[in-house]
Amino acid sequence: MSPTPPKRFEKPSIWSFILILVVLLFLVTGINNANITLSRVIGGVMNIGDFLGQAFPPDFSRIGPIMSAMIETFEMALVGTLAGVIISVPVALLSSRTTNSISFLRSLTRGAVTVMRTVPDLVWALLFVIAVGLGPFAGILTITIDTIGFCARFFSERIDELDKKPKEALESTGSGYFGVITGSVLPQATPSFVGTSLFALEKSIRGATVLGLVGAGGIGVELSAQMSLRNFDQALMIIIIILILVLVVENISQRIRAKYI
Amino acid sequence: MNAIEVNKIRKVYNQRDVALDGVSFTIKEGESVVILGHNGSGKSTLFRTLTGFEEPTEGSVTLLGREVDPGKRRHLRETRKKVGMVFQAFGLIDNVSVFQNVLFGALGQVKFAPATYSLFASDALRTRAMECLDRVGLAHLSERRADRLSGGQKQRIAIARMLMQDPEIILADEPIASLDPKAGREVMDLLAEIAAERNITLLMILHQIPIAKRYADRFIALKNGEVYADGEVSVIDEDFETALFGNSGPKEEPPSDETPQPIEQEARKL
Repeated sequence: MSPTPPKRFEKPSIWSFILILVVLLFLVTGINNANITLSRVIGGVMNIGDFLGQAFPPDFSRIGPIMSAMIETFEMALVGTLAGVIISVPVALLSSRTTNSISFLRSLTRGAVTVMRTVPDLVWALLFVIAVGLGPFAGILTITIDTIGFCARFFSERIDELDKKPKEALESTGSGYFGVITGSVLPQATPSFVGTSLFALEKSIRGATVLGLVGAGGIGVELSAQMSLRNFDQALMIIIIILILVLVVENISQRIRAKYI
Repeated sequence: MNAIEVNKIRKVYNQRDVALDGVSFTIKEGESVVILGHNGSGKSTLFRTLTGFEEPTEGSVTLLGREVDPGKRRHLRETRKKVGMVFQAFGLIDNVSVFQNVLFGALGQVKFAPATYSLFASDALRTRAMECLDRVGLAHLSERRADRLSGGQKQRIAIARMLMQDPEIILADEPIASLDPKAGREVMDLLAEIAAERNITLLMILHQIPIAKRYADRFIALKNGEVYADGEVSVIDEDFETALFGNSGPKEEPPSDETPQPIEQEARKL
């Protein structure tokens, strides 16, 4: 008699079973509450067709003010990302086991970075609009916080992965803490920092285009206004300009990474 | 005057693994000494203890008259300033230039660390870095990235970086273990010449007995964390090698029951 093969299906534990049931419940109620019907899907396709019909050809008559809003969006992203990257370096040094041996301080900075990363940027934007008023400053602050959440985490992970031998070699010269960071940690980590920062800039530009929806400056407010007024031809022009800017920045960033990193 | 004094060093890991057990020796200024021993004999732990990277469980280390105490960071940094180290893996920053790597050798001497960046370094520091590079024969490679060098060149750059400290002691931890024989000889020639011309105390960990006999005056052999023999390299013969390393030179596992009594006694008399 041949040996019995293993069971096709292992009975899940009671907790796994409860988890599966809860997820299934949310799935069913989610689909139910969304009121998905065939007529709505067909209607949706028709509406998209209607939008495209009205949007084409895009209206470039307001290209001047739209371009200045787009430049403001790019500037918000650039300033916010740069500020976020600069702040991320000391934050990452405080978050890394290699450069900070005080575990309490490490946990504190890691916790702060996690909060910055997990709260969505639109929520930060709403908070900063309340704090500093409508306009690009609120957008810059939002992007700065979002960039710290992204960069500080990757920077500190990179610092943790660095080759420890150069650090020890420089310690052996009588160098102190800042000397080791200056001579070993920063030079080794810089290419990775630059790569991560370029990704952060791409992310910031995409993010900055929608911050205007909550009044935090940039082109988002224009897009929102034209959509509300059903000026779809102008809205399409804005979408095309956003697309071009994002693609250009992504392309330049990719070239820089390929050449230098 | 003694450059290095090691007094009854004992190092125990996890309260049970004894890496060093009552190791004592002194090394005079200008002496050239090699530490011999199979893997796991305590050589690297000894070096890490000498430089304050490990704290001995018992005993003390004195370099150039200053006690090495990892607990006193400022005092330790001052002590390290005149102790140059050469590592098996070189310890260079791969993605910066040779010149910048050499400048980093002055990190212990400047008040503000970025003053060692080529962009901000003083003319005097930059000139000294070029002199150190010239001494190891690689001034022409100053602008090359460190990761574009051969192993032998990397070790010579690491020596140039160490020269920026103007060291009185050089500790070389298996400096040629990663190099081919020709590059290894060149590096050893360079180290020996520099030590001789500047009267630097040279303490090396080496695995190759012929190299040790050629470049050192004295050897200290470690076995199972203890000083097994200490004497002039000229007394090392095949019997001693067999007793220390096994039948065919350095091996992973040492023989456990061979007795090197005659050589040991002879060596200890010296």
